[in-house]
Amino acid sequence: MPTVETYKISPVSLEKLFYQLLKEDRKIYAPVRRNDQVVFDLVTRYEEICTDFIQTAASPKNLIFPRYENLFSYKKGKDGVEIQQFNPDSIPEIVIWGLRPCDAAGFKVLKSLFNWDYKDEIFNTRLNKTTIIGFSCNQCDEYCFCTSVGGNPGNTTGSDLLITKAGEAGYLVEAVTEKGKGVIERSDSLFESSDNIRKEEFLADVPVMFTPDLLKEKLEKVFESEIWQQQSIRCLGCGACTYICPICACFDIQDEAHGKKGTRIRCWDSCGFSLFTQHASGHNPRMNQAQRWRQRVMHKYVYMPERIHEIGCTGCGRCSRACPVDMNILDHLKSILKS
Amino acid sequence: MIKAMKNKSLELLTSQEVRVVIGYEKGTKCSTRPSFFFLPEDIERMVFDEECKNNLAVYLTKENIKNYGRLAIIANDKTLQSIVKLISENQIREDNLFVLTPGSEDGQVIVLNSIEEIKSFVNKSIPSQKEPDSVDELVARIRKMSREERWKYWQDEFARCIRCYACRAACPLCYCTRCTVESSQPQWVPVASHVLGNMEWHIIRAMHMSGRCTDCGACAEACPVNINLQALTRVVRESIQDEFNLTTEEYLEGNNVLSSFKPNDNETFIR
Ligand code: SF4
Ligand code: SF4
Ligand code: SF4
Repeated sequence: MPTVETYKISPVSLEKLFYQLLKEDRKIYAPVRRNDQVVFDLVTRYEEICTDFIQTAASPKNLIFPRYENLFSYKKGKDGVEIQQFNPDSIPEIVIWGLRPCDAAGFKVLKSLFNWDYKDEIFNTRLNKTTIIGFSCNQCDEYCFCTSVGGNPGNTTGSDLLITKAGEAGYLVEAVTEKGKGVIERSDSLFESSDNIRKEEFLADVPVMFTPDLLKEKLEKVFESEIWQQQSIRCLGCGACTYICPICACFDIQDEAHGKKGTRIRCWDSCGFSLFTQHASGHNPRMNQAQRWRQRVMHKYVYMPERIHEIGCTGCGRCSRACPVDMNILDHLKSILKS
Repeated sequence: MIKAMKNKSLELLTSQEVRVVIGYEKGTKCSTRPSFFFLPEDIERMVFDEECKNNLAVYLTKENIKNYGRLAIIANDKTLQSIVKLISENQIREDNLFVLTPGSEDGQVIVLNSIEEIKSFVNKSIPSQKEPDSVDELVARIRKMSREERWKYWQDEFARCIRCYACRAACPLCYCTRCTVESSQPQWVPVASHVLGNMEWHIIRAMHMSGRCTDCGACAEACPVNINLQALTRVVRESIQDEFNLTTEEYLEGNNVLSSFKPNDNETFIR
């Protein structure tokens, strides 16, 4: 892990940094207001960027793991099948600007997931071509619980640069990775020395509810519990919670064929759906919503820590905010711990 | 009223007339959420006020809920209309259901226990005139668009759809256990959430809701990316009521226009 370098930047210079990155021919995605929500979208004007929000409606994971993407296309000819692989060179250099530390940390988990056994070239190329500029949180709401799952409102994990608003006069900038240091080198006149800004003073206060180890230990004992049925009875079995989650990465492989040619596509999938993991025989090892809900929780807090040494949740609270029937994951985890 | 609602629920549970009461409890922030009350002591958690917006009728067709047999449901106006529609589609057995709903007097709770009771109550409570809401405003805006603009408008809207199917899951009338979009042999609708796949999904949804949608708005409420689906289904409903000359009462109790057939239909193409 390279050491983190710290700097200070004034509000005016921060704006200049934005335009500098645009000039470098990078597409910048940042939080903006659209349709009564804050969402990540392409931004070309600094003043469009929204900073006064707790969390965006959906996570920015789609920028690196899109809703659907072509893996390859094929054509059947006289001499067999011709395959055209997806060309990773077509992936543009992008910047994700203004994402929260829990989302930046999510990208680290996704990276482990997509390199667990098979090294996913498309995913890796996208991530390598992305510069992640996180902004620390100075506010939170009752859905946030990053501090209970190994994160915090000023967590540098996953960001190339982490920026913390330190009062009105300026921002603390932490260059976490080589990529982040590169951004600073290319615009070094914009940055000043950090003169010992105490970052902690400017961060939101997110109470710790539990530790990941405690939760895992408890979950391992309740696999057969009635609690899954009790909690999931109101769940409608949609994909909202998983699709807006920064970490949920289950996908479905589909062929879209048109006569003798076609495309193989990777599409998002969700453990909430009744067809998820259904076998060709018609049998589904997870027959009901209770088992599917258990899978969602177990996968995040037990199986992923075991397999890839990462927690499958960064505590962003989105699933709770988005759920049409208010399945509040924090409440559910707390009641599992109490059971 | 919450007191009367709790008392009635308690009565039904203690007398074992029902196994479960489907109602509301306090949710996160100031919201309320669906909740299931099995034991008399659970009733303490129950809430009921204007914040109780979820359409609980969505649970009535779920296999695991039906397995409880006799149940009671706390119904707001939207839930009531969905129940009538579900009855007309033979999805609910009346002898299994107690509907608890606020009466016109302060603090009054009405218990409806037969199809006739439910229907006549709903028909009496249908407002003759409705205040225009934000959906009407959007509909008016869309109606002013040219055909091409309208097509573009919906394409742009549905391009944002992530295909989470929360709209389908939240809809009481979307009760099929296997949805046509999930058919893989043949695959009618692309799984990928590209514009083509999304347009096909939404056109199919609107068509399947035609004559059935009660305009409760649960779909739009559930959508995590704020697509205003209600604008589409409301127009479908209004068009059907206009074209077939149906009162709201007839609309709710009537047959699904897509699957009804009359040998003496005016249209020649259908004969
Ligand atoms: S928890 Fe909520 S968002 Fe997730 S599948 Fe269930 S109803 Fe949908
Ligand atoms: S599980 Fe919920 S709280 Fe955790 S990262 Fe995913 S959306 Fe956020
Ligand atoms: S709820 Fe919204 S995003 Fe999800 S499938 Fe329906 S329209 Fe698409």
